[in-house]
Amino acid sequence: MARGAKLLTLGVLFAGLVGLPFFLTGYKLRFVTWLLMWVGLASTWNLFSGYTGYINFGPVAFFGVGAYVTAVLMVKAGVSFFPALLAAGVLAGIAALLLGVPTLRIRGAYFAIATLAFSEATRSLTLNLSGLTEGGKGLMLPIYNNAYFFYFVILGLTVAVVATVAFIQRTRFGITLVSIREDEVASQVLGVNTFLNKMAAFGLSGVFLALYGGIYAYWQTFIEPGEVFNVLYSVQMLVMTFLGGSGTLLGPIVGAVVLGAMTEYLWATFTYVYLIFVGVLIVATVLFLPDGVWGYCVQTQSRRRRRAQPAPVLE
Amino acid sequence: MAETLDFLLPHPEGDTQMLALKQLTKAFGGVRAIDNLTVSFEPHRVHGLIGPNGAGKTTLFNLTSGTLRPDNGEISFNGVPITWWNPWNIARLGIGRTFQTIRIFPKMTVLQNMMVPYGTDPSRSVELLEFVGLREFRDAPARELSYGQQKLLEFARALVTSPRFVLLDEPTAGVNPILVEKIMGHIRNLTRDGKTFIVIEHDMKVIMNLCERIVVLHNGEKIADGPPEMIKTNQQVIDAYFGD
Repeated sequence: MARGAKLLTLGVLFAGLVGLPFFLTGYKLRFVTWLLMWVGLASTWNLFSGYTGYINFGPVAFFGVGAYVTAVLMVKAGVSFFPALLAAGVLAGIAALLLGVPTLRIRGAYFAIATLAFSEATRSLTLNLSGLTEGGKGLMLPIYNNAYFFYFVILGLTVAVVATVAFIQRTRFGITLVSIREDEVASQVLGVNTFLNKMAAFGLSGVFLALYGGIYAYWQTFIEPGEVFNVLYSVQMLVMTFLGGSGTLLGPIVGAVVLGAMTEYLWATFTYVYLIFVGVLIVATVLFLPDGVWGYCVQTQSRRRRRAQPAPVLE
Repeated sequence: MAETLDFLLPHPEGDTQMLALKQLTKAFGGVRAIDNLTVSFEPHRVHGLIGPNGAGKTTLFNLTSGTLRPDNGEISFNGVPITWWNPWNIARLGIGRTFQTIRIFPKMTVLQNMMVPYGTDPSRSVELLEFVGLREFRDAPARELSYGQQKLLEFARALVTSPRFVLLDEPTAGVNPILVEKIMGHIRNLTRDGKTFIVIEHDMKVIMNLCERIVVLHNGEKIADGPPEMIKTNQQVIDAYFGD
């Protein structure tokens, strides 16, 4: 697509997203807000795991930490929302770096297990630090009943996340991250400080996840450890990204919208068996579209474009 | 890029070693891949590294480039001890390498592969791709190249940052004969410009033609070291290759 057409599409899309909430009410607005949050969460997961190939199985740890830091600061210390949210982002970033030092040295399934264990550990910790978090009773946040506010805050953050990924993709940092996924040792002997690059991406993803957690807590007004540290949230980020195509800018967006809309429809129609359909969908993706829906489109397109050129003679 | 010329100056101790391995040992389980090996390599020369399969040639490369840690011994580069350095710091010091089993980035395009090295230079990338005949494939994913072309891409990628010292692990395996000649010519030119190479190669014609000095490994030990004419007639080397 030409640059002008691209900008026009982006402009129309953005205007549409800004105008959308004024045509929606109640449940529908809540659903669109929820969907935008998942677009952002999947994109954030993709920012680290999709590009580096290090499968983070516990992203919900940072989401939960963000939710709790925001909630505790607001409830126990009377801090207002935005400063509390900022603190949550900073703290989660530091937590991600501390976790990264030991875990980013291990690869494959070991890294996945370590991050999963970390997210379960933070859930346990939150449950047991009851002086601060009220444990299993959960925390009630000040109620702010303004659906537009949450829609626009989440929209803003999601735009920021997607723009960040788009920017990284164009920089040397992005190329470095992909080289880590493709062959980390080769990348190292070419002078790439893979550890530092992984840390930077991991830390950044931790910050974004925590910001979503904090907004989510304020939006829901009530949080408890079992919910904001729900392992299924981690799985959903992963599934959405792979469904759309990991390591691509638009993949997680496509995946989040498709899976989000589909679960919503299936859940409303077949309340008791909808997970069967979701399962079939995931298995079908893995079998037939290993690069995801969007990944498949990108590949066919680039192959067609190269075929259109005069074929170079192979040796 | 400013190239330091300090390696051209005589070494304080009066000897001219650039890469020095001292009493190096690396064992895998009970097998000593490198066994108490002491060897050094001088600047601006092409060194051949040969030996039967399992002699420890690739292990020597892995230890030097920092992707493996030795059990014992020391490695120094221009007098700097690099034994425990990270691979990326060793690379930034000016040691480049290729791998025996190709390690390109398969899903990246050919040009993106050239953009990964630290301190890469876009115009030199294109120049090198032109040289190895891959320029027209620059936007193709690297995995779609043939085996020989992938080998060439790896060769070009290792040279894009102009390292002073290059370790080539079987650079000509699977490459067509005309291009092999071209690569050998390029290695000679770069050596004249002050670069240093160690080449692992099974093709004796290439080794004998290219190298001024050949080091022969057998069971992780050095069994011979000298100019090609000397190696050709060395009884120990012949025994190592053909059995006694």
